[in-house]
Amino acid sequence: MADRKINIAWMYPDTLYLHGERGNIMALVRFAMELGLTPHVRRIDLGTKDFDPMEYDILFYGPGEISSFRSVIRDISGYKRSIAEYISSGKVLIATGTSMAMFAERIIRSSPDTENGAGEVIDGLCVIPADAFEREYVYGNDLLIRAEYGGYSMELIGNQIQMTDISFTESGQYRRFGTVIYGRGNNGHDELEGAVHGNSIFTNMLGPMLVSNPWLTVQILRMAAAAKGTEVLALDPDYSLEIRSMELKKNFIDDKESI
Amino acid sequence: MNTLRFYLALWASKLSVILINIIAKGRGTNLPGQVALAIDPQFVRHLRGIDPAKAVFVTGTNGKSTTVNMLHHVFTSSGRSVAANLDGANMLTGVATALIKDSTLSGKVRSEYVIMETDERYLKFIRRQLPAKQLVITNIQKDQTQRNGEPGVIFRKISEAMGDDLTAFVNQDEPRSFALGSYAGRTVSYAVRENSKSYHKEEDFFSVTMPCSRCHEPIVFRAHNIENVGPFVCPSCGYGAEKEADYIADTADFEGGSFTAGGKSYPFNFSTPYFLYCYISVLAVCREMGLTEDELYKGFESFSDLRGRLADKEIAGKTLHYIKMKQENPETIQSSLNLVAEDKNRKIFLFGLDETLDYYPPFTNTLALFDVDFQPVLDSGLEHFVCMSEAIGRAAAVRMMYDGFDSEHMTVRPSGYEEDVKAALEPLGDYPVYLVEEIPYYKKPKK
Repeated sequence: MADRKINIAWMYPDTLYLHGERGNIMALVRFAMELGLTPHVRRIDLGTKDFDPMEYDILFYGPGEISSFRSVIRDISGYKRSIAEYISSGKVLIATGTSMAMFAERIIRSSPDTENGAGEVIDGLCVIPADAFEREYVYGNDLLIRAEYGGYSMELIGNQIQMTDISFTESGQYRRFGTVIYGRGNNGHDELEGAVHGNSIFTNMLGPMLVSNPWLTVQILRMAAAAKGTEVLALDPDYSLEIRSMELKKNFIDDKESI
Repeated sequence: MNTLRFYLALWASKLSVILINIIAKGRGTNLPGQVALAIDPQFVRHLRGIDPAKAVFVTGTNGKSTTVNMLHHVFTSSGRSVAANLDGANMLTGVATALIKDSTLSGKVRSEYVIMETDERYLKFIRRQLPAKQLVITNIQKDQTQRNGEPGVIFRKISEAMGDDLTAFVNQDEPRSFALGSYAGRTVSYAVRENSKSYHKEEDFFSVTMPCSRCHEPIVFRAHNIENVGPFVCPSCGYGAEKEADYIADTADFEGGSFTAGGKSYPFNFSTPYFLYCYISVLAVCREMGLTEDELYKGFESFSDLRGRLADKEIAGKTLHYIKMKQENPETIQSSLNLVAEDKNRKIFLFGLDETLDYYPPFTNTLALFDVDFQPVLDSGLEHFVCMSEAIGRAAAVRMMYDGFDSEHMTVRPSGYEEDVKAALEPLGDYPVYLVEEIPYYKKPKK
């Protein structure tokens, strides 16, 4: 009997805990089952001793407070080499919201920590060739993008609560996750949103993204399953409620733009 | 020159109070303060007659207005004079307006006590001009993400306003509020013991708590008295209360309308545990500031919430129970849902999560939907669910599907206006109806 298990690591759920992003895990579980897969989710906390990324098919990092970045980066650094191997192998890592900044090269702070002043630099994980600049003021808005993922082009909708702007320092094997149709994206200047390397996604999109855009969720699951040689059932889940929800949000955005 | 500027500011603002009372009585909670501060930016500092030791600021995400109203009521019902911003205008202009209304033509504040609700982000600026020595911190939670981003920002803003000159009244059951005690010269803690409305979440795999403000590892709540507020500890670094709180609500009798603290029983005119924290913080402030047990008792006995989070209205032949939520604060949404879930009858549940319109740009904010659990409402017996919003009603419907609710028993209406509420209710059977919304439909302007 084929191994239909899909192992999902929910990374630091109580530390990277903002914006209801646990919904993404629920979406992965729901659609994995619809695709005939058997999802297994494990919560990984800071200091979990026996964590090996290669035992998983999907790693999910949600957004957290910038004040916790040092602790999380220190923990990830303990298995950083495995992360590189993990991404190269075609497995799926997803980082949303502020977590994207931790995978950049540097995080340049604008507001002081209690013990450090403005301009403090936190060394990132250097997984994506980018710098993250903490914004003086939060930027919150809708985010509508055209994304390319797994060989498919799709429209994605969500929210963006931007604490750090992202600027890529070089091109190369990292490609854009999406092109901004409405919203800010990485920095509001280059119409880029997020980054993709292999099958891993780094994005500012919240919502939760995988609840609002199940067509992406299904594609992620297909890629994760393919990376371990598992075939998924050729099912086409019912997205009708999500599609209607997206239409209403797009109408709202259209009304804003026409003002 | 400075004196002249101050008097000009004072008289111009007082004139604006008179004019506003003629033109639109009941309005103008900020304008007089704006006038005064435009003329004299240090206007509040220049007012006379304020004793900082008798000035109380109340800040935090939730409970500011209720706590200030309750403090004001207890102090005034015991014969003390109080200047307060009871209308909730909690920035420097609102504080200035309340003081202008309370001051003489020579700029002396008449009241002996000053009790002010203060916006978390502006506390630092208000304290620069009025260095109140008493600060009540209710809680620091996820709120207004478009403005705050994360609770850590608010923690930092409040900490910047604190100092050794301050007595901080901190909520020992709320990790961030409690941590702020270390920024004050003196700390008085308050707490509520586990009670009949407390709940546990250990069994819920998808439950999320919060990081410890010291080591960023997960905080563990031994019980939730309200969402994310209750006795807690960080198992990793040990952060948590090392001793009993200075003031504790030991028992609560929600049906009988009383609670006990320090071996004494007090009247409690509310059915929700949220208010217990307001009561015990007020008790702490009043006792520390010299009010007697008798004065406290009488004050609590006659207090009722002036702003009203609960109300009943008749519509489409049904009684609609309205529960107010702050839609950008998951903890108040959860408290509202828990209140609905207390009714174990099959019911109709109307949920009015709206687009976020408070700040620019407006957006279809759905972030809170997965920060809360609808399961208690579902488990309590739900006949029909109505989502009411132009743009995110269907997103709320999707959320309900994740908690296992059948889409055939859901209706989506484009707004929470009266005609849409009626249209949603008319075809439905005779069940109790609950509406959880930020602003009730009967207070919304007609389309």
